[in-house]
Amino acid sequence: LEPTIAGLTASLLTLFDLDRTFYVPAKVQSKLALGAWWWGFIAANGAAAAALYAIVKDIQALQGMNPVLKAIVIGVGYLAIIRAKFTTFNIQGREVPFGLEALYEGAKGFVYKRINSIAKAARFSETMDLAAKEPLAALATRAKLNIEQDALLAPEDKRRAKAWVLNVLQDRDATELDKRAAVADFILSGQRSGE
Amino acid sequence: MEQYTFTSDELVVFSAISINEGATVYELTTATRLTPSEVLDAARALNQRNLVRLVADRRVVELTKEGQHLRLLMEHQRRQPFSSSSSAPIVVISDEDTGKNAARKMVEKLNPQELDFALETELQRLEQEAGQT
Repeated sequence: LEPTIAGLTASLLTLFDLDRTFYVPAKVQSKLALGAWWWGFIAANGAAAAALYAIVKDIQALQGMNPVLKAIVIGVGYLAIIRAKFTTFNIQGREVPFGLEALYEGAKGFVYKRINSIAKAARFSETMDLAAKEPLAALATRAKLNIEQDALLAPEDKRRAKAWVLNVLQDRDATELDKRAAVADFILSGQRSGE
Repeated sequence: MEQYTFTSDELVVFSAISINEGATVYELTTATRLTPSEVLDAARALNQRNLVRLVADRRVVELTKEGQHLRLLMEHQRRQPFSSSSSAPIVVISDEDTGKNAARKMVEKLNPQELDFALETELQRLEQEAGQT
């Protein structure tokens, strides 16, 4: 039971991280591939945490701890343990730390790149669909309402977001479709800003 | 080391493009808070210098090999600003404000009440235009 608890805990944390990192529209062309990368990465992290439980469960720092609590601690600490440097090698007189972090980060980058590629294509389709469906005035009104109702935006952020919407509407050199798509992307992306 | 001269619009657009995945013009517009035509102008200027390519009917911007190389150099310099091998800046900003930039910056300086009024007026104008067609 304990390895399963450690695995489930690490899986949940991985799910939260994926959810925080990617916005994936409901309509995705490669749904099967997305599901395979998404749930496969979660399952792989869970399995790795369960295996790690078997390896570290008997270390002194965890002795005497309730087994279920111990499993949760290992599940939560799974990434920290992966990132820890286990040993150091002496190469040409220099101490070089060694751990599994590079391997983990490489695997994570590999999976995230593929998820991002699928999510990006879906977001682009969603943006163009919305831009084609609604007139500019309706999109801009929706963007303005979104800004005003967003409780997480500070007053200065709201002012800047509205200024941006106004600037897009008044952009004389942009086509109607470009303006609509820009406002649609703003609505769908939850007003994220690079600043 | 070669030095690149960018306008501030070109620099924010260039920095906002994902190094491996590229970005749509609309994502760049949202991320940089520039207008669509400013993003397209900056992307075209970067394209002429072989730093980006425009694909998918000019709606997607991707870094070229040279663009990726420059981004990695900039990233390296940002992380180690005082390292001796990278003490000279790779990117220099030369800003000549175009009329378009000036208009955008004026709007950005409006206070909330002025902004609400201007936005409401613009929305009414758009609705009237839509009603006429």
